[in-house]
Amino acid sequence: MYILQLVIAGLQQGGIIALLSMGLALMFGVLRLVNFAQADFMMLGMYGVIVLGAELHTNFVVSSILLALPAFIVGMLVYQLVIRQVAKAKLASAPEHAQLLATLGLSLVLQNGSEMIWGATPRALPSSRSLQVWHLGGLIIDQPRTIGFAIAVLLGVAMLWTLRHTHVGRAVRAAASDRDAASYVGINVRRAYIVTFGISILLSVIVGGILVTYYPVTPQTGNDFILLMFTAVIMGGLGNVMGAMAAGLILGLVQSLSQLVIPLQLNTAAVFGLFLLLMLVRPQGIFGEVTRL
Amino acid sequence: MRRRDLLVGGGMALAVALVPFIPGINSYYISVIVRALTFIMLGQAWNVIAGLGGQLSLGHGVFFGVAAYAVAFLFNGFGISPWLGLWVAMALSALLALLIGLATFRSRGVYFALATVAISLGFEKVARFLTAYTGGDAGLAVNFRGTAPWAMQFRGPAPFLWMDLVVVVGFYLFTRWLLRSRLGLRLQAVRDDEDAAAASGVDVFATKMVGFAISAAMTGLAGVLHVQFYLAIDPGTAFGLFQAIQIQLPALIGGLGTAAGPILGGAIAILLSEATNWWATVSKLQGADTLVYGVVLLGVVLFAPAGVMGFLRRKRATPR
Repeated sequence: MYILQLVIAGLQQGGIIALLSMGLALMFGVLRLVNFAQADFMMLGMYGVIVLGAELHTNFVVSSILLALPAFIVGMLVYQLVIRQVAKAKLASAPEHAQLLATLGLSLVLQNGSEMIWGATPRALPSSRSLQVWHLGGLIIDQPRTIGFAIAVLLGVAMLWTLRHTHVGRAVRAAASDRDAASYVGINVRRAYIVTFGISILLSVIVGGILVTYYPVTPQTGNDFILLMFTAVIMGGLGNVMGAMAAGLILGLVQSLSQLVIPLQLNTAAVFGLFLLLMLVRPQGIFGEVTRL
Repeated sequence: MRRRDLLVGGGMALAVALVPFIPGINSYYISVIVRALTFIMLGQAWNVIAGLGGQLSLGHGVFFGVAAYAVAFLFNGFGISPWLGLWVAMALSALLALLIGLATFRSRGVYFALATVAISLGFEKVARFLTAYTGGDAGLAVNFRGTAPWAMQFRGPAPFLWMDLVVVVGFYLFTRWLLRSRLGLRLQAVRDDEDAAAASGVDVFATKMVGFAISAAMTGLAGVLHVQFYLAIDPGTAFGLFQAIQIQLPALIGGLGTAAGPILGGAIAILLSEATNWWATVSKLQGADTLVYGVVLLGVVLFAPAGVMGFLRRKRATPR
């Protein structure tokens, strides 16, 4: 029973990681970009939901929907003003290093900017629901986490559907697999890149909206998640969106089940251990690197 | 040309060395210089593998932290003098670098950077957990002995200023030598094009390993001097992500892969940090001091990827 309880907790946590990693994987698959600030946009989403809740008394679902469009626009702006410019600048070492450093800088700016605005003390959503649970047999099922998991799954499926079956999705996939060929057949590659970045940031912000229902936020909250995300993305095979989602779920389970064998405080270390092992034996990820999404 | 370098560099070093003799100087200013010199030292160390070798290590906090903890642990537990402990600490850092390199240098580009982040955050978690050896979250305090040169503890910060200065000058001369040495040329070849380097007979893996180990040992020395100066070390300072970012700033601001870059960059970074600390205190805004680091990092990468040195060189190159 205890194990089953851990499995459920792991899956719920894994759903969040899966959705977060999906945005990162999409970004890597299409733009070949590693974004260290990804989890900080999630943190901004968490604060956004708290602020909207306090000002407009909207619940987290409505607030997340309200934040979606601004998030998309901010994502596009960040791409235009930072990421594209970095690609042009010539750092003494490799170009991907410049992007990495730029997103690290962006991450510091977002974290400390948030600290200047909201302070360093943790904040939580003043919600009575955060303590509600369902009893199912001998199992205790946390309500907000389950609702969050359901939303994460729905969004993930919606994202995949968009990528497969809509015009924008096809353009993004084409740009990812071969930017030159895509531009020859009349696809606006630059627009596909901008849209990808925007969507990826939007996903992060919405995950923040879900997460804040049960996870208090500080300006540094992103740091708790960023490595989980990278681990999931690499496990899934860099750029493999489906793989990243599956890996996210697996990571949630590993984190939760590792309690059975090692102390709770080390469960993040267990994930990093898994990450390193993976780097050694299978750097292309469990599901293999794909160039087609 | 060389003579001018010698005059300028030697003059600057002498000026810094004489600061403690200014009558009535506040020891706070000496402490700031010590902080700056440590910062520069870290930049010089990181520059060897990242600037010359092109390997973006985001895990140099590991070498800094492990060395600091090792020296404190040896002194507190066994009464081993830091003068001896520092060799152990540096060797430990280098050994750790070889192990990490063994695991990660087979992969390229972003994989290496990501792996080093994972390693340093893993170390942070473990350091917080192993309370018996590391003091957990609160960190480890070095047993206080008052003025005890054998324990590398002094009254006032001036001796640290001189020690740090010697190390910074040493690291500078070493980097200058390295830039022209066989190893340095191999490192730069690997940075510029791994495949081309391998094709012309450079053992890419071995070159990276040696560069990484040297860089780690240098970082370890900085860690030892840091812990002896503050007489304390904690997991966040040692292994945190912020430390990893901070280590990169001097070389990035000054100019990656140059000998003088980290010195200029470290001096600029510390001035900025002091100014914003002051501003943050006055305006009571939390986070303002670190925000500036982020802005500087972004600004350098976007607008001055060759750093201050690149700017100076361009000026020198343009005909008058």
